[in-house]
Amino acid sequence: MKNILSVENVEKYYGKKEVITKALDGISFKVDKAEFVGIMGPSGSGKTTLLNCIATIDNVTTGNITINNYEITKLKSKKLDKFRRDELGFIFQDFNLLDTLTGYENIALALTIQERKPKEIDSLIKKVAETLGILDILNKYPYQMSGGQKQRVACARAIVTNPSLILADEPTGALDSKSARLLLESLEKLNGDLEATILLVTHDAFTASYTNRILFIKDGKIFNELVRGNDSRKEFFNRIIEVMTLLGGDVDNVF
Amino acid sequence: MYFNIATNNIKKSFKDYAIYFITLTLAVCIFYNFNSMNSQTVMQDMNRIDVLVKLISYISIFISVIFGGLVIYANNALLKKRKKEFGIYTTLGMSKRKVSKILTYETFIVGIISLGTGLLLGVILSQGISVITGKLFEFNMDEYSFIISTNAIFKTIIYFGAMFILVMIFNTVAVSKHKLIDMINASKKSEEIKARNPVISVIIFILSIAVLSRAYYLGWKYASNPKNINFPLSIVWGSAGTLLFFFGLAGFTLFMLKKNKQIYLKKLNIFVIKQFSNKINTNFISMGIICLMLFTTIVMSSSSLSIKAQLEKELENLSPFDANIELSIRSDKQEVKDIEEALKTVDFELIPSYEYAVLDVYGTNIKVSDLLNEYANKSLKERLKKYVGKLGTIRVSQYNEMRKLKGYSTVELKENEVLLLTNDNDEKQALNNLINNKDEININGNKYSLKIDKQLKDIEYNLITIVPDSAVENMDKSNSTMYINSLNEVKKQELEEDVKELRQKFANIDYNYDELLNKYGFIIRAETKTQIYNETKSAIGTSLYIGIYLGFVFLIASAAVLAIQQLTEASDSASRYKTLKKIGVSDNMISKTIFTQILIHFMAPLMLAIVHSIVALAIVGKMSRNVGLAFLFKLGPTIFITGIIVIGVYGSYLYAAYTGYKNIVKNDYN
Repeated sequence: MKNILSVENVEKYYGKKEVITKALDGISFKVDKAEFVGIMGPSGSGKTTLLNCIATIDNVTTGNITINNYEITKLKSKKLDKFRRDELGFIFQDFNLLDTLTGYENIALALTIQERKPKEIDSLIKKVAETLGILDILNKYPYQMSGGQKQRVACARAIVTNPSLILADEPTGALDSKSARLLLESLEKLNGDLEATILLVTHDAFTASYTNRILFIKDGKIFNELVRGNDSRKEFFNRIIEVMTLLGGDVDNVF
Repeated sequence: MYFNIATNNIKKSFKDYAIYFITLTLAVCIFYNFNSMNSQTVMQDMNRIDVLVKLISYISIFISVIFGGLVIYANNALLKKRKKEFGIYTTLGMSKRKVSKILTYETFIVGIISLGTGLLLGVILSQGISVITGKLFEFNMDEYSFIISTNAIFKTIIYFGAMFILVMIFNTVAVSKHKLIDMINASKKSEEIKARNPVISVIIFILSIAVLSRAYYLGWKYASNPKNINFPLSIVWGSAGTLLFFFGLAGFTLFMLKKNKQIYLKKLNIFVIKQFSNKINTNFISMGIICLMLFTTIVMSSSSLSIKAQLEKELENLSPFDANIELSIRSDKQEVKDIEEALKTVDFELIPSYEYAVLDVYGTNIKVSDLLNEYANKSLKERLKKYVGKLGTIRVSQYNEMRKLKGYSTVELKENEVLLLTNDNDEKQALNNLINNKDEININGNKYSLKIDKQLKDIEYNLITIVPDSAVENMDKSNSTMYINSLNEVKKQELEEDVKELRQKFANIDYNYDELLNKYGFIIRAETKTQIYNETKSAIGTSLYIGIYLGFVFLIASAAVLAIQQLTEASDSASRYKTLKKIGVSDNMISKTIFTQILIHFMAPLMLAIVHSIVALAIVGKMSRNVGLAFLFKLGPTIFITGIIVIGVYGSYLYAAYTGYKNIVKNDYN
């Protein structure tokens, strides 16, 4: 399988000389194409920092991150915008849809900023909307949608440009359990049918159980790795809970 | 206690109040300036420029409406921002009545402060601006002095007092209407985006075009008759049309653009269009008002500048004589019909160093309109409709005397010839046509052959006939004018003094006509060259003063309000730009988008204002021709100057708004 993301020995320090916080402390891992990888860890473990570094929103202190053969730690700010536009798709906890635009227009924006042709844009949107089951809400404004619908529109916006890597930051954080399930099934489908590579950050075991592989982070280091293999989701879920107990963190959240 | 809460609130939400406060202060300041204009000495000559006075009286109709709207608008924006705060008061157990009470106190305090500041600023600014315009255009500064118009202050307080009471009522109603849940959640919901039915927008837009066309049509048609109710009504139609235009504009644009996918789906166009339409849904009133203000600015400054240009041209054609004194003869019964005799009666001494000539004008029974109408062009015909005067004649011997005094050659006239003279271009044209068709004229029973001379430029501006001396024997003298030159420079001053004295004897002729006629048995009007020169200069200053001053103030006000709007809006939009940044839009593209957004916001009202102005200036031009004003509007160069001023002021505000907006957005995503 083609390697999409490779993180090598990344460190990220916050603060000045006297008081240094190591948010990331020598993290290395790889993600191949069509993988669905979860990153878990208790609050303060450094998972959001890691995601921000991969998302090119934040800089690493040392180490290298390569996405689809681009060495992003060495890209200049102008090229970074272009890189983010063309190679990455984002799904945020709070959706980040533009309230002034309809669902259709929100998805279209991701394509128009790539300066795609109008005809192409229309058919791409229709296609992705069908996959995610949001054809009937395309002409609605975000304020007319439910949380789950909003998040699926955001998903469509992330996937429509066919990015190398989709980054999802707590995508189910603001959803009720039914919507969360629907969304995760959508992500599973995107991963399975369209071979989208997804990196998902969460602290929720249920959400994580939908992925193929999970990296556990604690205190800025990779603490454990779980591969789903041929397990059922329930079995995988139980294994996740076990690791979380070991980690001694957020187990209470589950029950 | 509530009063204390109110004062603390103002201190705390000073940033929010700043916008409201600035708007109010600016409004008070402008309102004072506009209303104190009558008391400025320089304005007292204004009666001369009738058209402008008429324009101002119409403009002042919507000045108060403009400010009423602006105040309510600013207040409304403020209220929306603070909804959550009021929600918290209510959850803490304060009744809505008490919340409104706090709000009323706040309005009161801010009102008093802004009224005070505005008036103070207005008084200072009115001095400053009059000094600057005065200096800038070499206007005689002796006529300016520090003026505080108590009348204007009083008027301002009354008007704005009423506005504040209106705002207080509005606030009380608004607070009592809101549900608690809405107030608490107010900050979460960004201003609700109402998706209006696009078909309605399109209909309204088309309707607005129809209304505006009607306004233009009425204005144009009744320009010759401004007293007709339809003329001021065209302003009402125009204002309504402008509001409708902006109400429908965004929806209409969106509707049209959606049809054109090439534009709609290009870069951030969707976003820009929605930013615009989203805002214009709530901002159409302010946009309309700003458009009308800009329109006023352009019309005022261009017409005042063109009046200046025209008056200055008149100065070049100033009478070559040092003074002229006219005796008018109203009836046969008037005893004194000779100017020299009249002057003797009023002790005006003609000393030897004066050279003078007398022109007696005799009336005929030929109506000027009857003579020329057939040959007149369109604009002259309009003028002749209202002109009832009869053709005047002057004896050729007197005429030649006058020409000799001027240092010109004399004209030759045979016993059976008359010479028609005019300085008016339309009349010259008509005379040409007349002489091509007719070569004879019957004056009081005698036939004369017609002559014209296009080269001669003379005292009288309008048509006059030079006739053989014998011709006037049976005619009545209608006036007698003496033209005086002083040979001696020193004596010139004396002449000036003498004429001034004479003028004082016959002061306020129009007012005291009967009284003066009883006292002296005749009426004398006298002018000197210097005096005319000064008066014309003063009229120039006056028109400039009004036009530029008002125009400038209006321009600044509109640009400032637009900028304020964009800056308040920026904090709401910052999160949207942050999202754009996250999905990979480059800084460069974001800056461009911000610029486009602000440009559209600034340009939409300006564009419509320019269209309005073009029509209005055409109407003003027509009006001034119909009133028969000596100065016609020559607009070319003045529009150029006005344009530069508008672009300069407007451009700097646009740029300021752009930089400010960019900073707010950048600060948000760092």
